[in-house]
Amino acid sequence: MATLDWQLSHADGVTLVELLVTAETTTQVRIESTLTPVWPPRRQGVPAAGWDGNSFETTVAAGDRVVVGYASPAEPDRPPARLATEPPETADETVDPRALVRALGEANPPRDLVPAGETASDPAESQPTDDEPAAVEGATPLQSWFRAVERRLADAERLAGVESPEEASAAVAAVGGIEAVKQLQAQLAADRERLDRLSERNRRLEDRLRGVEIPTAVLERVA
Amino acid sequence: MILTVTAGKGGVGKSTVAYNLAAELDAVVVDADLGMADLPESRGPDLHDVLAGRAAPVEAVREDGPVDLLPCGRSLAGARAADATALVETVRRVADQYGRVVVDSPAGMRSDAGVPLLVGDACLLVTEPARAAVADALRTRELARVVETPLARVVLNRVDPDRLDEPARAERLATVLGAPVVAVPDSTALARAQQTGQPVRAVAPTATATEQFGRLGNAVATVLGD
Repeated sequence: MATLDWQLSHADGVTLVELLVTAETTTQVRIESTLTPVWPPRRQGVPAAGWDGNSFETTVAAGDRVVVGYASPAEPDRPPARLATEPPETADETVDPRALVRALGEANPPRDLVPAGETASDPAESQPTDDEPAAVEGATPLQSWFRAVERRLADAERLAGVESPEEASAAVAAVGGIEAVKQLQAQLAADRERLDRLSERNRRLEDRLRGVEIPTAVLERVA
Repeated sequence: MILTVTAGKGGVGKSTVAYNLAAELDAVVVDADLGMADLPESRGPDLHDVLAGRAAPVEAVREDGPVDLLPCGRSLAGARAADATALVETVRRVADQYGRVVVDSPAGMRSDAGVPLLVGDACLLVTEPARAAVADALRTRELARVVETPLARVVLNRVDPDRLDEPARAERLATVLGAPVVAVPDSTALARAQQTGQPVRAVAPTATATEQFGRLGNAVATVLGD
């Protein structure tokens, strides 16, 4: 007969559970966590051997003890786990994919290699639409700036195109009042300056691009 | 029937063999090279989406090309989010629906090569005549033994067409790797077909490469009793 002892700690919204299992005779045990979901310890990205969902199976030798640790986002609960009454299923001899990943090693590219802002979703889904032009995740600062300029230009063109006092007051109100119009004007001047600097840089890069040629054949011979 | 096409090292023409064999067997080819996919890509859900639980296996299969294909995503983020262990269930679901599946596995000894081998009813080992390629093939042969997937055939790819009829080398390789060898010649027709996303039979039905893929398809179908 196995006995279960436990300790709990809670920090930053995560509950850490430490279980101590002892037995007088060699026993196969299955422990079920009452906290769910369980974040089991992982080897090569897959749950450590013995873990299956919320339960853990192991063998406790006579007079020995087994320490099991895991985490859960659930609030601490007492007891955090209990020994399952039914005996664990007999070990399956065939190779399972998790055991294979543990043994051979995870092959996913490391986190550091994934470019910042790239998400696993279809890139087409993150394309900006007219309804939500602001703060597109994954857009570079330059892309965001271009979009902002386009928005400001649309406002300015509406203001420039007014033909009657009614239209004028409506257009000013749409931008947010006459103060906002003045701000818009100042912002557009800054935009113009930045765009000039970009064009200048663009021209310089163009010249350099036109002038450069890598002597691949020579380098191949030398390297 | 699930056949895994694997290799000890990359660049030996594994994807080409998988694609052409799938054409011969009228099978779906699953591009399981999660990090470095080679087979044609297209829009819509792909294997990365399936392995991350965002799409069902069968809905990711494209039937609009010359060969039915479950394509793989190309993004590093997608490769990172993919759960390699879910490949087993994915391939089985596709096999339930379509009958025959050819899995284009990554080369090497990591779990991304091990899991596709595990799901196969049998495997095909692609190698080149070069000595280094054969040494790597031996390691992959061992991996297949560990996961208990029988080796149906060895494909000796890119053989000099003038030396296709020399049996000595093929026999030596068959002894070392423990399976009969089918040689596929280095063929411009085959390269041209692959570039345009076609099986070689569609481009050059009488080419030697086409004949050899026909032989390979028959052999595999016989071994798997299908």
